[in-house]
Amino acid sequence: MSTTHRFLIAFVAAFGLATAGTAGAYHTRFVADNCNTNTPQALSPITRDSAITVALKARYEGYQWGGGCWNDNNVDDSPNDPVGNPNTGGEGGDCSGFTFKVWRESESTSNAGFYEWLKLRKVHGPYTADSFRQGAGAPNTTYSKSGLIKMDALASTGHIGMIYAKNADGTDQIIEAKGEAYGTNIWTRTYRGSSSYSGVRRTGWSG
Amino acid sequence: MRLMDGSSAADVPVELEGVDQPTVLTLVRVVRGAKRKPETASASCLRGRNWGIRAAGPSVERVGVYSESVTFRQEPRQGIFGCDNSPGPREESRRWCSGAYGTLYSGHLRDPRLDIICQATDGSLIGFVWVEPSPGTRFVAVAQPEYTEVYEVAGGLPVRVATTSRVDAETSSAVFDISEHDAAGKLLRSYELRAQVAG
Repeated sequence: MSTTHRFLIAFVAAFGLATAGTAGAYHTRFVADNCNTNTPQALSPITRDSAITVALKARYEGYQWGGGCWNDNNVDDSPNDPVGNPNTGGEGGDCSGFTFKVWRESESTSNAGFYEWLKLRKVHGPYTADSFRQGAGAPNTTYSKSGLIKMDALASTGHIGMIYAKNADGTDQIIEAKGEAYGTNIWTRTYRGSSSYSGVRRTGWSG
Repeated sequence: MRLMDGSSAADVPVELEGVDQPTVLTLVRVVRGAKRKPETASASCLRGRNWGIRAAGPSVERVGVYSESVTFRQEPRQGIFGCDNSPGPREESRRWCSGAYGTLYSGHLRDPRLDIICQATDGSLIGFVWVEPSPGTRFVAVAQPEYTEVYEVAGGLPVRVATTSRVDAETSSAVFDISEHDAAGKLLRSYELRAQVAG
């Protein structure tokens, strides 16, 4: 290989790396093109099964740090978003935004009512996984892990997932927005048996 | 001006370049583990929020005009956590109205861990974030509507700062007007920190 050829390859490689650096400003148009900020409708209390229906609309959709807007086409429309950046405009909720929306909570922490957040309504809510874990907010309370049932949640300082079903072996099927590489889905988890996780309950269900 | 604990704020020891408003120096205490007596803010934060994780090294307690915070580093150094407080209402008369946890990646936060659960006495939201100051920073200044709150860097931990304005419940976000200064008050950088509740 000639010196000139080696130089060209090095130049192209360097340019490619520089371009890849620009890609650090990755941004999709999912939120801009699809999501809205419509005023949510106040609801009468809903059932846990209704919340499961809401949660399943997000299954197979994406994950977005700080996000809360998704469609229902069973595809992550903005895969491989940079992690930890709430401004990339991608599809999906993060773990706490997903929980907030499925539990149909209010943006006001002193309001325990139910609100209809449609799937394309971009909203995260005021709670992090850790604040859910503490039972923060009028609708939320800490709860004994042994007594948790469907649509209660298990939360650590950094993650929260809701119980979709309880397995006979003591594990749970958890519906959760897990991460950019995983999206939102149902997985079998051992959160209930982990000392890092606490039980959380959204109160006020109608059944 | 008085701080949230009723004490009078000390004067900022230097003039801060580029800060035009009156300044208020917030109170800071670095508390070593052995001195975390039960009555300290640090001890009540550890006790009251059932963290399930261990603190390593010193904690940093801060008191501002409408805010109070404690920050700990998690053993073995994979995160930081702490409690936030304000003069407003809170659930069940808890000592702390809220708190935060942030995972460290290569020693740094990926986002400032915005907390908007605490309120002022009039019910308006107070936003808290951790600021990781640039090297050489001694003072972090946060502009409030009528004054600028000044936080001294301490304990080798990110600085938990608060704002009483530009906190938006609808978007779960807040904007902080921040400047960082060296020990002589020289402006090192100023920026608008836009933070989003996440994770």
